[in-house]
Amino acid sequence: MNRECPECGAALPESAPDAPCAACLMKLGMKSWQDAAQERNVPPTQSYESTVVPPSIEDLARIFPQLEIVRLVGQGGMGAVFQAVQKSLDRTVALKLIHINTADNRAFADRFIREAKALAKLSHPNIVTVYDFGHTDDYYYFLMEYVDGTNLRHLLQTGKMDPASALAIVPHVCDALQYAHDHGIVHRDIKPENILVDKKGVVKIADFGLAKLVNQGPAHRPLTRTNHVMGTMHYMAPEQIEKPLSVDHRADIYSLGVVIYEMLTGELPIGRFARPSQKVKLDVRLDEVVLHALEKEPELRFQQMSQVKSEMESIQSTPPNMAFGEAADHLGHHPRGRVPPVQPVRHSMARQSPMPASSLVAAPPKPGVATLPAVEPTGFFGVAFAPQTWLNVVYLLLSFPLGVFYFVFLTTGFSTGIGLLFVWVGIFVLLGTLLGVRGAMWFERELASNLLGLHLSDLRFRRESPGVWDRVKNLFADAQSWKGVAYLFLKFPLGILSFVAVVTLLATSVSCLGAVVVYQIPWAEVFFSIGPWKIDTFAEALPFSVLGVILLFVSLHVLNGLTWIHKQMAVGLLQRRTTT
Amino acid sequence: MSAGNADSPASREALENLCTTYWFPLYAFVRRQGMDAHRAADLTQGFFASLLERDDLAKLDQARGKFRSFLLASIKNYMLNEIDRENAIKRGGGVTIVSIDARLADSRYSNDPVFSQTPERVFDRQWALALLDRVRATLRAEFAERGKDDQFKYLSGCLTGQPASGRYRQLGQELGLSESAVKVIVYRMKQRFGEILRDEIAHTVASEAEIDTEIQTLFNALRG
Repeated sequence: MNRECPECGAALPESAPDAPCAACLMKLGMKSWQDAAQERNVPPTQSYESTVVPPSIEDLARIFPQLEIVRLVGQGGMGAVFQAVQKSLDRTVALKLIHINTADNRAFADRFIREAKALAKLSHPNIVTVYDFGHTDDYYYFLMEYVDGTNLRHLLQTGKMDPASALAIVPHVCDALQYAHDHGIVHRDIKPENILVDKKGVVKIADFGLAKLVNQGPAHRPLTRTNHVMGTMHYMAPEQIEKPLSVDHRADIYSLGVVIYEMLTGELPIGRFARPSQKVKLDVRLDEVVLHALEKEPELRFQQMSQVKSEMESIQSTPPNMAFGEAADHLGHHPRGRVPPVQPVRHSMARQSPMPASSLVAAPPKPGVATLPAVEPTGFFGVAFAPQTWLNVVYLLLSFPLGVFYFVFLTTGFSTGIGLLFVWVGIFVLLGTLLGVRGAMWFERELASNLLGLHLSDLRFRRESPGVWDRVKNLFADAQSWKGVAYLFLKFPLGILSFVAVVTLLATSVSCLGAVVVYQIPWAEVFFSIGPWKIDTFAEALPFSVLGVILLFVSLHVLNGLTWIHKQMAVGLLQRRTTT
Repeated sequence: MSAGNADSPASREALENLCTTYWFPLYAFVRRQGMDAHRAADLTQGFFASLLERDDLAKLDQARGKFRSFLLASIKNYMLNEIDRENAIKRGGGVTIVSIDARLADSRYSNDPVFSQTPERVFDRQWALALLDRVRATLRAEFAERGKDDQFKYLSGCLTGQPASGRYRQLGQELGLSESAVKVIVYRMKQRFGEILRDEIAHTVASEAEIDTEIQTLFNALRG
């Protein structure tokens, strides 16, 4: 029988079941671990471990006679958590002790009481309920609902929850945070450790507002050692670090964005981070949600948690929107052509009813959307130069000279009398041009995404459109729209190319139709004499004509389609500001 | 990466070093391809001989990236050639460049339960294990250098996982240290392990950026 590592779930060799788990050893080298170690790396003599010693269970029993202290559950930078039983009600509770060196400071005590009262008013199925609070000589404490389960960090690390199903908990987190925000409470420390999942699979957010309390204690200015000990800088919104006093609920939206990013990619979005879909294969619309939540400026983010939730839910409920060939690559992995971004969340799971535990815990890793190996971005501007890409570049380069060549032919051809050549050259040039348009579309898309950070997922095709005036108004509203304007300017090369294509099409059609018409006109016969070849009969000309007409219609439709897509892209881009 | 830098003696030594560490993954790969123990040992030996003899490291320029992939591709090539020729391996002038204990290798191979996988996976997994062994050895040597062998002996078991409650105190008593001192040592040991691991991997990939990809790949291989 194979034993498994309790930490990461890897199989342990039978010959040495007690040896350290190799996979866990490997994890010690990972950057995330090393970075975390750096952050935790306060000199040991000064660390909380040596300065904050949690009181013994006996001491606690004396301080809290109404409780039966069961065990120390956990210990962190802010203090310690004990499991206890409230004797009067015979219910299991969690006792959270917060070590503050400023217990004698009246102002802090007042603020603590004020905050705690606000926290205690929060009553939501996805928020850990506060039963009581107060302070002793050395500690402030909360008596809270005891969550029998584990946290999201642990679930992700141990591989008990694959990233895709982890996403299913996001709407619940949004619910809880929206509720708290409606009550004027910002969490300020959203991270996987604070997202608990009990044994029934119910999501519970813990430690509301504690970060604020602790950080604003008189002896703990922001960015002091306390922050290091808390070690969650990576989840903080930029304004939490730069302007801690102006933090509002949108900081939580940013932090949740970090959590979602981490769930999808296994990495933190640090520096110039890649879109999630560049790291793992997934519905590109998830990119939009994550990047929108991670906007540096609070004004540009989602403004409400409920928006994050509805975006996530609309992604779940509609087929993926992957455009321009990407879809074909991605769809292959999924029957019925759907890429489920998250585990389907049944309506009954919302709010009160617990999520089925099976969907959360011990779900076997699936070869799903978010678990496929990452694609490493290479090439210049992050454009990956796969063979297909080179083909596109060749198309692009070829199409211009061909177009010009044909244009010249068109204008000189009639006078030199080599009309039939139009038909042939026209057909080839037409194909070349269409391919060129395709190449240009591709190139433009790559440029837009790599230089401007615009993604097709931003350019949602929407049926219902706002008024023209709204669009124009919003066009100039913010930086995102200016990106849009820049994007439109990028289209100019494509516009020129399209013009050449249209002229080419016209020429082709004129040539082909001309073959018919001109045949009826004796003096124009010269158009159909090319060296030894002559088209003498209508029957000889007919195939060319038919072919030309068919090509004309097909091409016009294709061009029409391309134009439509471009228009939709532009409209969708401009709409984005009006709908969010 | 130092193994592919130039034709200097140092780089040759580096390569030999790497080969010594990583011959078993290659052996496992060959075995997994269906060779018996004897033939696999022969092939692996011959491969290293040819690798060192022909100065193949010149081909391994920086841009080419991972040493691991390079070795895997090379041995695949080598095996194809060898099997085609069906000749005994005479290369290396009879000099054993890397010492392979064929009997030990066979038992090590037979004892590992996860050999029900593709040769490539077996190779990656064995590669990861060999790498960890090497890191462990380096770490042990570092402790020994400071005269702290016993610390390594008692505490290296704590590199992974959560210790049972009271375990640190117990270990502290063995070592004559306080519980918190043990915690600190274990913590630093973990950190140092990670650093050495990254250093080792840095020798086998082209750029700093690839280290994390490599770790992730190896981690996945170990997770199975």
